[in-house]
Amino acid sequence: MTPSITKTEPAIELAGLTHAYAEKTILHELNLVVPQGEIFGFLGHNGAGKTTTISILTTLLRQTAGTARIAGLDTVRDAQEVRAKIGYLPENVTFYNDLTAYENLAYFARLSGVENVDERIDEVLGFLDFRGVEHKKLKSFSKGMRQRIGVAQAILHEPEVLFLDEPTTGLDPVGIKNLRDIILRLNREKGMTIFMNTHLLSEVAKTCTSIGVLNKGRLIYNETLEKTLADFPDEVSLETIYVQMEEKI
Amino acid sequence: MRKDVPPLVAVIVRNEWRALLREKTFLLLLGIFLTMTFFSVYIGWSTRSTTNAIYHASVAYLATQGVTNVIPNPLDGVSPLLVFDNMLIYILLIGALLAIVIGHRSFIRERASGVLPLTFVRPVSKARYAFAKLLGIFLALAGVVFATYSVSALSALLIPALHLSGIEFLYLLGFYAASFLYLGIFASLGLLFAIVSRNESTALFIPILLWVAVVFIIPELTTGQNPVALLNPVTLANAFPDQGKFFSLMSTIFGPISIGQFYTRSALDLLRSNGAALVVPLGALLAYLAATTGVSAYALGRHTSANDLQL
Amino acid sequence: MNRSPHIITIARKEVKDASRNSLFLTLAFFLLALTGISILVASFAFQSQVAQYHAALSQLSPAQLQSIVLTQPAYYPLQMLRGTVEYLEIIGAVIALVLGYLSIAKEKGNNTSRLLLTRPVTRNELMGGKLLGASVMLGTLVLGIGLFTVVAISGIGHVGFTTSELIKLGLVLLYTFGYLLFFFCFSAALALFISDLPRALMLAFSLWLVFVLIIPQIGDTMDPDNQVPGGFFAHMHMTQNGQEAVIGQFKHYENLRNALEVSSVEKHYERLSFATLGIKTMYNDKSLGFIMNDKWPDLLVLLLFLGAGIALSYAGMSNKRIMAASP
Repeated sequence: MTPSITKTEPAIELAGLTHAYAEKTILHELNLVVPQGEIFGFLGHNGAGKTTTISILTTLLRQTAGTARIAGLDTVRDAQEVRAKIGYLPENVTFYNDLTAYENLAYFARLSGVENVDERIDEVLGFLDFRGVEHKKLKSFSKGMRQRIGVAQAILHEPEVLFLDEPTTGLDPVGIKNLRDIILRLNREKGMTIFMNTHLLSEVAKTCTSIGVLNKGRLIYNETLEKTLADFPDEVSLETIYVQMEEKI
Repeated sequence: MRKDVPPLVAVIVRNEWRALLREKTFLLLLGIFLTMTFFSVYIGWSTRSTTNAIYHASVAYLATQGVTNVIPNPLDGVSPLLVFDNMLIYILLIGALLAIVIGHRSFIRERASGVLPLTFVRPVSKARYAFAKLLGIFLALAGVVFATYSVSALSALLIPALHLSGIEFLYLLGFYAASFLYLGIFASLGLLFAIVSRNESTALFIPILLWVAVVFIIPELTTGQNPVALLNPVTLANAFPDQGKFFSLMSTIFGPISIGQFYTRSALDLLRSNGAALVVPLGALLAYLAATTGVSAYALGRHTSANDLQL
Repeated sequence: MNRSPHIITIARKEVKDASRNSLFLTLAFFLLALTGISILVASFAFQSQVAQYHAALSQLSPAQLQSIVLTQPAYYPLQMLRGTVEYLEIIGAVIALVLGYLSIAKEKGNNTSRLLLTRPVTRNELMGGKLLGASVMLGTLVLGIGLFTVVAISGIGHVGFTTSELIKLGLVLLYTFGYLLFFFCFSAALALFISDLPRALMLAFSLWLVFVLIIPQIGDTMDPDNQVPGGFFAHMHMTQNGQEAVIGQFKHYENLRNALEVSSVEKHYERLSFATLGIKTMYNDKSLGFIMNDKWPDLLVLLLFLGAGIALSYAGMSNKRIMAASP
């Protein structure tokens, strides 16, 4: 039943993706291809439709028209198969506070069909340099610690595509740097494709390989970071480029 | 300019009411409470008139069996105000929950919305704040009780066969005044645990568990009646037979804290238009109200001065 | 992929989570304490009855003894459970409501629902896991109360249970389990269908107040026989036939009262349990066949309520509803 995935399938593919809610169109015919191995930064104002897009891509929401594919699989028709291929870190991630870090992770690992749960948790916590907290209850965790457990739950089952929704919200500068390092390592060492919603442009410049800009539900820009910087040779930072793009609309 | 500024206490009290009247939980419970108030007189009256009719039918039946020496109607000479006796149960149950919610929300609202620091960076002393909060709660409760009295009095007027004299309307008012004392205790307990407990659901459930103790456990331990029987005003109205050493021991131990029984005793005496035996139970209710209010006021002043403000 | 382990994984997590919730534990412990108090009170009340019987006996002269018939109060252990059943129907229902609410609110109130729904778990597995978890917890609670009851009654009354009594007790524990599971499903469904969580809890609580406390209370106080302590008809020295002949003249009133009572699931549970335990004296010491012949409609209604509750909770489980409160 599971369609075979070849290396040539893009990690993410949106075709005419449209979503409307209560007679208001939130996404207008988005067309987007994110090849495998990219770190894609999805930029836009609050309310531009970024979280709606991520919700559709992670099978949480059904679009009203168009298609969304993950590694060639349709997010509506093949939802269960898609779920096995993706990892997701929601904005302001929270957990079962009365359970320990280990218990929370084991729960989500089992639901993702991970077999050697203990080994995987140990491996992932080692990768995140976060061993030693397994048996503490989540309610004692700081925001930064929660975020690491959030990343851990998202990568336990070695997904092909990782979705991060505003991952830096509420983190201090050290937390932001740690998270950035983790994202880069996941991409380089594990070959994960990463799709990141954000409005922290300085982070995009340091981590992403390509960007898309969403404005009022329309994709107004989509290029590699390299090309973007080349397209705007006079601008000193991504912030000023972004402001220019928005002003053109 | 300063003359036009209303006193701080009035500002806090008014804010308390405004917020309360927008609480859906409060409005829902109030709706149930007033609806039941309206129907309780009808339920009481129809039960009484049906029982009277059943008495006459029984006498007629016994006559056909040759029994003529029948016992007089047990309902003869019973105070007409006792048609309100179901209200006692609704106050014991719904009223107490409503009072807990009023007290509980009064503080949780402030803490959850994070406005406490905004209040205390203003020239409001802790004492005045505590006084205004409690005044707001008690005035709101008094409003609820008065609304209930009005609904009761009105629905009594709607039943023409039920004739209440002026003095009986006064006793009815007395019944609601006793109810206010009982409800005030629960409102201040709701407030107290909202202040001292960090967890919102624990804060709500502790006074509810105390309520279960007052309404069910203590009366059960001291009288041997089952929980559901304790929700029947007729069971409550009658002196309990001496049931032996265990129950008299329990009465000695729990008697002094039996708030529910202090209330039911005084409320039923008022409904029987009997003012003679009221002093002890009403005095006890008043003392408990003063104590719980005092402790809540203390907690309000103490807890809001510490790190609570950084919530 | 094998489907059943997901349900078990979810159920195990539900149990673990609730077993660390101090509110749930406090309420469960409280219910156990109430059971203990009820049995103790019932036993002492029985002891007082026996003492009164002996006191009355000793006051009678030998001549009076021949003309006056005093019946010795008979001890039936299951009848000691009246208070326990009443607490289960009132407080037990609250515990089940809290559990059902928490089970949904935990996911919906923070965004763990997003973590759950992006995994290969179906919505039915999710609800199935929650129901299985609740069944384990409520089952343990009910079983715990059952065991406690047997130990307490045998300990206090020094009287063992016959096999038939144990079977009847087991049956009542099963009814209790079904009754509590209904409240779990009902409050879980409300938490799913109503987007605002505190409002869902308050509504569940208000419906509990109306259907568990108020309506049965109205039915009880409207009963003419309850208007006089010890019973109106007993006070009038009326026979059972006379009583029926008189009540027959007030059919409308009795029908209204009965209609009120049967609208509450609690009353069905109570009637069924009181008959099975012989608390309703006409069923005392009767065979199960005899009791069921009369009480099957109450059992049927209880099962219908449970079925509707389960169906409603499954119907409520959707991505949209369980994420409604998420950011």
